[in-house]
Amino acid sequence: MAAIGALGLIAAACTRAASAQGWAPPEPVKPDGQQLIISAHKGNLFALPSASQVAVWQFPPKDRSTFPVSTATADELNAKIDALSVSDSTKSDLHNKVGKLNVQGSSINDLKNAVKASSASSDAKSSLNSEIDTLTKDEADALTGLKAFYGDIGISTDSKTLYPTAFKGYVYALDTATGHTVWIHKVGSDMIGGTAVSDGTVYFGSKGQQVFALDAATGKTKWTFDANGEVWSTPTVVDDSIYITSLDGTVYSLKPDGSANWVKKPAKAGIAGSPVIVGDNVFVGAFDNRLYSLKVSDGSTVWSYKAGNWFWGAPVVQDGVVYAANLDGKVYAVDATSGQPKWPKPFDTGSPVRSSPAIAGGGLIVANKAGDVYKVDLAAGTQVGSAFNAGSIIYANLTADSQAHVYASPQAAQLFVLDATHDLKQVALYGLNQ
Amino acid sequence: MEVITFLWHLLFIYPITNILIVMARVFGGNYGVAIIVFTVVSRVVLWPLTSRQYKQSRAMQAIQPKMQELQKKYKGKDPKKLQSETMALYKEAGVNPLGCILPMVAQMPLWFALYDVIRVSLGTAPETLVYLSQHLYPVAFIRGTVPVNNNFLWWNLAANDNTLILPVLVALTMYVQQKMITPPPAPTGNNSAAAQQQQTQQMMTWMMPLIFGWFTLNVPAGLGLYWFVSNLVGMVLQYFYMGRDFEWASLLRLNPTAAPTPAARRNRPEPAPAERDGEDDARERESGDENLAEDGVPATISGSQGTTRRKRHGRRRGKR
Repeated sequence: MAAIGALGLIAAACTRAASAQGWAPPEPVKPDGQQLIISAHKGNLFALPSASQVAVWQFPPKDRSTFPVSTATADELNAKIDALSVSDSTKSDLHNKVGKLNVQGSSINDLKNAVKASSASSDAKSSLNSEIDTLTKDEADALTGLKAFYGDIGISTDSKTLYPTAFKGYVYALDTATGHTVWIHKVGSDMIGGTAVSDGTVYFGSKGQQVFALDAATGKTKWTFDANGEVWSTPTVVDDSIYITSLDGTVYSLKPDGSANWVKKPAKAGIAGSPVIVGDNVFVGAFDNRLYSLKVSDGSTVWSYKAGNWFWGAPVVQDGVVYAANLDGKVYAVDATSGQPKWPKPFDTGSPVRSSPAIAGGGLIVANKAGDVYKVDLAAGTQVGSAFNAGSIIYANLTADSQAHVYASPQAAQLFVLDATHDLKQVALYGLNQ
Repeated sequence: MEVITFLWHLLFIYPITNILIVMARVFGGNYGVAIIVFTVVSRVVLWPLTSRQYKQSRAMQAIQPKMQELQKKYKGKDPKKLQSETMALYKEAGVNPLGCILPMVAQMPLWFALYDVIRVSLGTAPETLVYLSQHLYPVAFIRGTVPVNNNFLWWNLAANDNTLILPVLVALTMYVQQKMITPPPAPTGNNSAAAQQQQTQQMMTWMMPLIFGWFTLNVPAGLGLYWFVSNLVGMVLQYFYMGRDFEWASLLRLNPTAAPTPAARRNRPEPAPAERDGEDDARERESGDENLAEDGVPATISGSQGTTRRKRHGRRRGKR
């Protein structure tokens, strides 16, 4: 009987597991003039062109034996080769082989054999070959079993580099055009929040209760800051200050050197959402069911607004109104100055809303767990046109571009592009099981 | 089906989830302590059911020789008589054939529920928090506690215990508990079916700990902690239930010799007052002879002797 019970438990594990699926929001990006949409599904990222259903690249790559090692690893190996006491032609040959070095496959042995055949000392050869093994193995590990992407993907100002975070605990710098790695940073704990890029620095927080600042070009750590709790949010960088939250309910304003402007704990529960900074205020939602407005100057609370459940997705602020979606299924519009409701009643979507809404086509676009996408009148809080159903849960933040296109990424392997100019109209649908 | 799922969640999953989170809050946000307290309380509350199961199990084992005699006598000859005699035997010994299973079945929803609750409450995937947001009672005290702290001692309760400490503890405590519950085998003589049954029972004594040890390796440490504490509490309750004369040395024997435990003996029907003297005499004799088990049956007893012994019990019942 006990055995039956135990088997039942395992069966329950198989059927009821809430495994990590991820909800990284889709990001439209335009490197070198070509429009791409970066969309995540579970442990994969896809770069989708506007004119085709076939991804330009997929990360991690399906075949690692044709995937080059990161630029940072190649640079490290080249520096070691330069330090060898061998002829210039041998160095040139080894550099060539590093240029063809892939994460797995025969190129690794090609390089190692060339090192062995060189006239360098046996110690130097052995050390370099061991380094080649270690670095390629580390990179292969960083491309394996990623499970999910949750965080917002930071994009460099020239759109040429993406900075996604994998749940497994890695931050990558990817070449937007090719999906190849520029550098890989192992965080040391799970990653849920995404990255923000500013002035050549990549900022992010980890479940390991730390905030990081990395050099955007090399991936080297500039500084770390110890937070009071797990960091699940993506930082927001405004006017040389980095704003981030942690799950113990703390909001941080940090200086570019990693010291704190202020650290305040307004909420009596966790904060998983990202802060939004507009004017003199920081707006952030919390798990104590409240939306907070804090002063940018010292983090003191200006007002708080109570809803029916947790606020998770970041609010959107436009024309002095804060729009925030809640896990009670409603969207609230609150006056940014007074904290008073702007709509006669909140807009009820009928299903929990985890994702951040977006503003497009003059309306507020919001998506819920039922997979429904609504366009809501900004002033009246009423529905515009009919809802669009994506067919499966939407947890990912919605993103919008300047052409009133809204990108919705449901948990199923799909990406919807909707035109929000008038009614919500499907413009494109991508399958992500490529 | 939807109604069952709804009721299952309404009556088990949501209340237990909320209770555990309240406990975690009360104990300083420590979910490990909440699991321990909840396990102890639930084991104590369910003890009447558990003890009933043990009693029934023991009583059933005590009448096995009699059952075998009946089978030998009537099987293939008079099925109706066999059935009526069996029922009469059950009635006489106060055994309910479902008595061994029902109490366990009654406890199983708690196992399943707790399994779900621990996995959901401690889930590392952010998706589990979205689920929790919909099922916590609308009380700030509860809602403000989530997400709970996953760390307890050196364990991350949401992750598998790769230190092997919990799997070993679960296996060990389950072994001890199994040993305490399972009486040493009664003599079976030439009855190969009974011998096989006993062999299976003995095998389960060490198979179950191994199975649960393996399960503990593959589930969140929080559930392993529940099993470990549950076994521990079970051992304590069992110890007091059995009296304090459990033979601890028997833990070291994988295949113990034939000797009913004191508890098994206690479950046998009380002899008539006139006969007690005789039995006491027998006990006195046992104490002077290490080769005899407690009820006077030699450890390496032959089949005929065993049968004789059981027959005597039958006669006693008949007298009453």
